[in-house]
Amino acid sequence: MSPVGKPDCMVIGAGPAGLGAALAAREAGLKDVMLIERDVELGGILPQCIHDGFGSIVFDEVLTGPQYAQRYIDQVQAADIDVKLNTMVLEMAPDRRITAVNSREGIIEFEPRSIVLAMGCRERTRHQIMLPGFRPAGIICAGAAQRDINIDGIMPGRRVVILGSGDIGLIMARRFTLEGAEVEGVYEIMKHPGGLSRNVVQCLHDYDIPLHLSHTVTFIHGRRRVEAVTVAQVGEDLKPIKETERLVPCDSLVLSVGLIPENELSLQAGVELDPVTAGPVVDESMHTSVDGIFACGNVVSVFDLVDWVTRTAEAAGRGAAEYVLGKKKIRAPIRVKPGRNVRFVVPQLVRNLGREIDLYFRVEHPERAVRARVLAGGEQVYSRKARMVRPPEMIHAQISAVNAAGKVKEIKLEVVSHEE
Amino acid sequence: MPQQLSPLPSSADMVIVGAGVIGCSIAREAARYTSDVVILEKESDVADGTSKANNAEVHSGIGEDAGTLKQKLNVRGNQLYDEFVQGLGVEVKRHGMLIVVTQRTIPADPDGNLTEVEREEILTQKIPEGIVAYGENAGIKGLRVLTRDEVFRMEPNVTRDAVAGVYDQTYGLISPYKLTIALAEHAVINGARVFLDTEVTGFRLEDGRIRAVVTNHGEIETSIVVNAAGVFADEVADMAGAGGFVIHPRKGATLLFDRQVTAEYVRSSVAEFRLPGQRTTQSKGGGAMPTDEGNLQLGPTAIETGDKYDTSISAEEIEEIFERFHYLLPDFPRDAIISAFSGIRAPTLEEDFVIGASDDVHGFVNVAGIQSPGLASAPAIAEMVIGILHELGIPDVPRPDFDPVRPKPYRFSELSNDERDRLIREDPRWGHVICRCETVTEMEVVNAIHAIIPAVNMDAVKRRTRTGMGRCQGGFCHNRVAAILARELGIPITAVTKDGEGSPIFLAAAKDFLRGEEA
Amino acid sequence: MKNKHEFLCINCPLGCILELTEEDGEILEIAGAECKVGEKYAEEEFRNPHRMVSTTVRISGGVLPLLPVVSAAPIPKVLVKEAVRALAEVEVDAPVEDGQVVYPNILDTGVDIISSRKLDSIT
Repeated sequence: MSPVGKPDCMVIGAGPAGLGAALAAREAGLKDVMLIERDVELGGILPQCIHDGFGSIVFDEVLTGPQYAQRYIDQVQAADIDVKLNTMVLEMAPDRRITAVNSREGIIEFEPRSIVLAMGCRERTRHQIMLPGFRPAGIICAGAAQRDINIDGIMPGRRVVILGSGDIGLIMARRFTLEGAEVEGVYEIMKHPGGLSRNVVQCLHDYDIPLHLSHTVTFIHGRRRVEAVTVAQVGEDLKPIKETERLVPCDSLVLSVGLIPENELSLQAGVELDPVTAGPVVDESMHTSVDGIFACGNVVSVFDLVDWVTRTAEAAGRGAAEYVLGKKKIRAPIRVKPGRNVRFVVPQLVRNLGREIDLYFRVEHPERAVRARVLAGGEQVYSRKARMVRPPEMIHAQISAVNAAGKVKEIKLEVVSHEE
Repeated sequence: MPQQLSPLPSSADMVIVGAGVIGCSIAREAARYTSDVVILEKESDVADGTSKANNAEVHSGIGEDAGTLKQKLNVRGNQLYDEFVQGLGVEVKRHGMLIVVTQRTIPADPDGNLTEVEREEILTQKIPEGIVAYGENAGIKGLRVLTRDEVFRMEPNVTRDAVAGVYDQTYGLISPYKLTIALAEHAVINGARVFLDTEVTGFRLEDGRIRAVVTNHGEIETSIVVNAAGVFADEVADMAGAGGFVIHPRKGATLLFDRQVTAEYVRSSVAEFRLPGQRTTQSKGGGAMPTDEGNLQLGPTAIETGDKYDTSISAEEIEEIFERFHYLLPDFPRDAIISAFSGIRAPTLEEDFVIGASDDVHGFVNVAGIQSPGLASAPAIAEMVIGILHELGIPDVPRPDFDPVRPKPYRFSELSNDERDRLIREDPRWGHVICRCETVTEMEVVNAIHAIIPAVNMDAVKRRTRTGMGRCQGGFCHNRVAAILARELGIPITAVTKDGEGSPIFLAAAKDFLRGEEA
Repeated sequence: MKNKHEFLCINCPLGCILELTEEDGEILEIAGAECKVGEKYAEEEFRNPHRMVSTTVRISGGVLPLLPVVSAAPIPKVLVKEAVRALAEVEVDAPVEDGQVVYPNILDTGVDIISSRKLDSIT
């Protein structure tokens, strides 16, 4: 086996998170930065997201996924960053030792001085939502279908029912339609669509695809290949109402029922996870509970905009560099508490209030006429009004450096009626 | 050339109908005596009927009614198992089973007919000792009574209502489909031939004797037929006039959980002891059982179904499973579910095995009604059937040229880093991981496609390599596996199926619908 | 005869339902908007809705079988389906540069369809 590599920083995953972190680590002064990617090319999930809507914050332009990725790929290729494609990380130990494999080099081992986790998410499956019925061919998650259609050039279905109205489900409703398939309808268990209004309009309304709110799929029919699904309205308790059941003939069921951060490697290394985000608990430099291991992007929590992924990646890359270069003083962390109508906040911890900090959060339920505010040690350090807040849209709060930072023991982020 | 594309031979010494675990056990044992064994399977792979949905339990026999053929063959089969799997490259993991006696084993006693002391004595001594005695009476070894403390030490997650237990040491676990594939391949190594996608449609008889088997791909002349057709065994027997029993299909669903989450939840299999009058299902009651790979199973259900193909799972069944085990394992991590599967049992009305040479049709051997404990009994069933075959004319002298080894396929995930490196140097496809969740490489998929019993669809590849069996359920690997199948079989990717005809994964190439062209 | 058209506003999380009343193409009223941006949006959507088009085209000799493409600017909404159908007939040769024009002036809109990425040749 080849000798053990000891890069300054190893970034696992070369999607927008990994690309951004590797660049930031390099720019912050690390000489030996390595990027490991299991797929055939850089970009992560972006090459298959051929629609536009990316980059309005980072570039002040509206780009497609591949265009956004290309911006970073070009920079990485010019930046003397060691890239390993088609390489799978097999193990990550609590002392940061990494074992990976590829066809050219065989088993390769590393003792990186720092690691940035950027593995993104996987999709929630049919069985995880315990959907009854048979197990025919023709059941696929929306992201996997997107990859099949946009990268591999194969159609997983012709007459499609989509379960879940998150953005990926809405985007795929349009994509299937534009490729000549028929989308019978999108079924959403909640009372409100899961994705952005923009996608409801431009993916469903534009194509006369019905959106059935408060509905779910209750049974999958077909032994060899999907033949139909049973759909039903759900009650306040989200349980199907039997009398409303209806049979919908189709040959595919496409599932858009949630993303799960891929933290299997993180668990191997003993990284502490936040049960609400299903991602690592991190501080404002994206440092996890394990010394020298950082995390950014969707592996930390599912972001709605790739722009936030890039921002967290830059924080992680800088954080890793500061850690390796010995610039960081590790202080005791302060917990960022999610307050009223806040479901979770990332980062969960803050160590240095003397610098600008970016917080990202989602609300529990929709609310109008509100004020999002951050209290540090009881003092308001951030406030912003919003006409409306909704769970699908992540909110970004930037706190400027706080005075007397050393005295603050608690930070709270809450959403209150804007009269307060 | 894949086996199933070659024409049927004109004759064979014996024909086995059904390539499930029973048919393949018999085939392999018969191959010790004759190389002229033909196995016919109507699905596109071995184990593709009920065997693939089996719960992997090599029972000790403790759960069977005394005096039944089931009990006798289960006890014997369990004892024969280690020898039976010699040379196959699969093994039985003797994890043991913990049978838990709880407060609810004896119903509440409102009339106060039992004192506390009496109740305690029954629960902690009489019942567990009775279970042990019952088992020992049937010839089962390795049973012992556990105190409450011992139960908790062994399985800390069991209900605090547990009062005692019985540890069943000889209970084990084995992958039912890996075993079936190994048995089939071992039989083929020793001259047997397997024909997939081949359905028996009738028999030719003469003077009350079997003359030939008629299939959808032609006829084979033979004088010996072994009917191991599972759920369809009654129909196959009736075709020959050798019936006289009815199979009433009873499906069973099992839930499967993420091994990273449930790894320490239970160490051996855990089941609750229920008196016959208290059982909620027509089965032994199931339990929480690890698979041979360490995933946790919960189930199975037992639902009479009129339909021999009904492997659907209802919402009610899923709820029933969680309900049933909620008392025994109160904090069960439900959300760690990764899969659910269902299979159809083949019980006769008498609920016992039907194994014997037909009195009506000479040469026709029924091996039917094999429901649980079929997997555990397989070595003993094969032994019994071989005895019958000898009487029917199959030689009873073992072949000196019998090859005792079926090489175990290499599995990247089980190898040391040095072994992995060596293989990658020989063939770089060993270094290309295509299934993230189960760490499966391209080479393993290629090997499965070109194996002795070739895997020619997604499910067959899955059974041999574990692609698609992990927590993402094929989200990452399905297109990679399909592309490898298409490449290795020289077929368009739209011809790749999930499990045989009628189950294509992809319906067209991109732009086909728009351009008016379809697959 | 008066006609009512409903639009879901996409400009902020409020998601106002905008109701536009018109007669013979003359806008009489726009109700439901909480701000001027919404009103303007309803008018645009009624008079002259435009959309960005993104799809894939076949590419030969490339490291991947498909090339993602996008319109350089929004095109009239009514032409989107036809545009995608026209692009289904296109096959380009690798290599392709990011931003390279793959199909100029789609359906006479004056808008080019460009490559969304760099795609190398397989050699």
